Order: sequence, then C-alpha cells, then structure tokens
Amino acid sequence: MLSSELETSYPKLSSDGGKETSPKDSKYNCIAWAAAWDKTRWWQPDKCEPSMHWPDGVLDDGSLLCFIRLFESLGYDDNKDNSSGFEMFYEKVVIYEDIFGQFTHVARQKYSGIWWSKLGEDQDVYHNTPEGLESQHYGKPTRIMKRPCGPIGILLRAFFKIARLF
Amino acid sequence: MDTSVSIPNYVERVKTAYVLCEDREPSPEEWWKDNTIRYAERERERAIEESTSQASGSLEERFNELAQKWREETRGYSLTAQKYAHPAYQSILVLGPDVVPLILNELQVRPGRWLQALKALNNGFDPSQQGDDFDEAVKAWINWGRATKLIP
Repeated sequence: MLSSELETSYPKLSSDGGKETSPKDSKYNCIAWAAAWDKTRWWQPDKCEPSMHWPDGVLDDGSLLCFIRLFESLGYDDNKDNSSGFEMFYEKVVIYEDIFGQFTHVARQKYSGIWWSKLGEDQDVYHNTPEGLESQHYGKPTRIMKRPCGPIGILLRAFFKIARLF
Repeated sequence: MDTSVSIPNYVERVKTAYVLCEDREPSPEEWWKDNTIRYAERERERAIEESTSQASGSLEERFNELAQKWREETRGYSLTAQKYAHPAYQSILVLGPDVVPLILNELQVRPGRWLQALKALNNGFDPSQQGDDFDEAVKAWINWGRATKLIP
C-alpha cells in the first residue's frame, strides 16, 4: 500500500507495484542507499553539513557527471544497451534526470530484479521498473549503470529470483 | 517587479531578448531551457515577495505554514541544494533570527534538514562538530537552544 502523499508525488508508482518498505528518515538519501546501502549518512557532493558524506577523490561539482563518477568509482559502468531488465551476473543502478539534465534521483536493483529507492527524506519504496518513479521533480530515468556481481551476489540473485516465482 | 506581464507575452519577450543578445536563433532545446529557467526564477521571486508581504497572523503561524509547505513540496528531493532553493524555505530565511526557536522546536518534533537554515540565521555559527552524524548534529543544536534559553 502507498500513502496518498506518495501516490500524488509519483503518479505511476502505484500501478508499477510501488510498496513502502521503511519509515521516513532524514538521515540518509537515495545516493547513500544506492551506492552503499548506507542508512546512517546523507551522501551529497558539496558536503554542506558536517554529517554529510562524499567519497574522497570523486568529482564533487554537483553536475550529473559527478554522480556518474561516483558510481564508476564503485565499479559500475555504463550499460551499453541501457536495459533495466534483470541480469543474473550484474547489479544495476539507474540515474534520473530532470529536463535540465540535472541529477534528481538514483535507484538500485534488488537481487530479485525489482527496484529499491529511498525518496529524499521520505520512505524507501519498491517499484517494478525505473519508470515507476517518473514524476515532475524526478524527471525520467535516463542512465542505467551496472557492475558484475561476485559469486555470493550471483547465488543471492538466483535464490531471490526463484523465491519471487513462488 | 513587473507582475502585469502575461505568460505568453513574457515568453515572447524572453525569446526576443535571447535572439538580440545571442544574435542567433536558439535551438528549440536551448530556448526551452533558458525560458523555463527565467520563468522559474521570476516565479520564485514572486513567491518570496508574496509570502513575506502577506504577513498575516503571528510569526509562529507564518512559520508553521511555510514549514509545512516546504516539507510537503520537497519531501522527495535527493539533494539539499534543491530543497533550499524552494520559495518557502527562502521565505523562512527572510523572516530572520526570530524563527530560530521555532525551527529548534520543529527539529525536536520532526528532525529534518534544517541545519543549514539554523547556521545561516546564526551568522555561520554551528554547534555541531566535524564527524557528527545527523542525530548528533540535531542534538547539538537542541542542546545549544536549551543552553541559550531559546527553547525550554
């Protein structure tokens, strides 16, 4: 079930299998969640508050490129076919841009193939496709990045994929 | 500020100014972005002006109204720079240091990204320490508010 607030902010989320999976939390944002499953820090390139985090040595000018560089530094690469579908041997993130080409959001793919997003200071949500979060503020998902899973990642992905069938 | 300009006239004016300044016809994409930015800036200025001139009710009522609007309209934003650009947030800053106790009360009830506003309204003073996590930073501000008797 989705709250009416989320249904209003993300008109496609409900029909895309949207489901809230956590309470609201101002401590961490989508970047922290997608990059490192970090629920303790707000990741942001300008680190304008002492509690914020951005990895040393990664471009931090606030441009779209710096978010791409962040995920490249974590082993992700551009997905040439830009497919958001499930791939057994890869884990994926998707970056959203507004009409100005500015970064607005990032989501990551779970082991089972569905997508997991932290919505600003709001909840975490599941959604079946990146398009489920298309909205006025987030704009559209434009860039899929992926990295190879390790052996444990592959086993987990196989397990969750099969479990989802039941 | 000229508020009598209708949107179609405004759009035409921006387009004409763009052609005059750049001495070339902008691409549709350039023109759209440029026009949208200018329009958004104008709307933002107008919203700040309106919200500060319509100072009805007490400061607390005004703050609560703006804080609720800011919370609701920026709740999904991933970067604080985007949240801080919102007219309601800018209007709260315009209200000045008198809103600091109200922000501290709000922080106690609903911890949110108010820390930069508190810092700006206190001339850059920040009681939190480098390396503090969010909860610790919120606690540092609340302790400071109690120590200075701004909040009970």
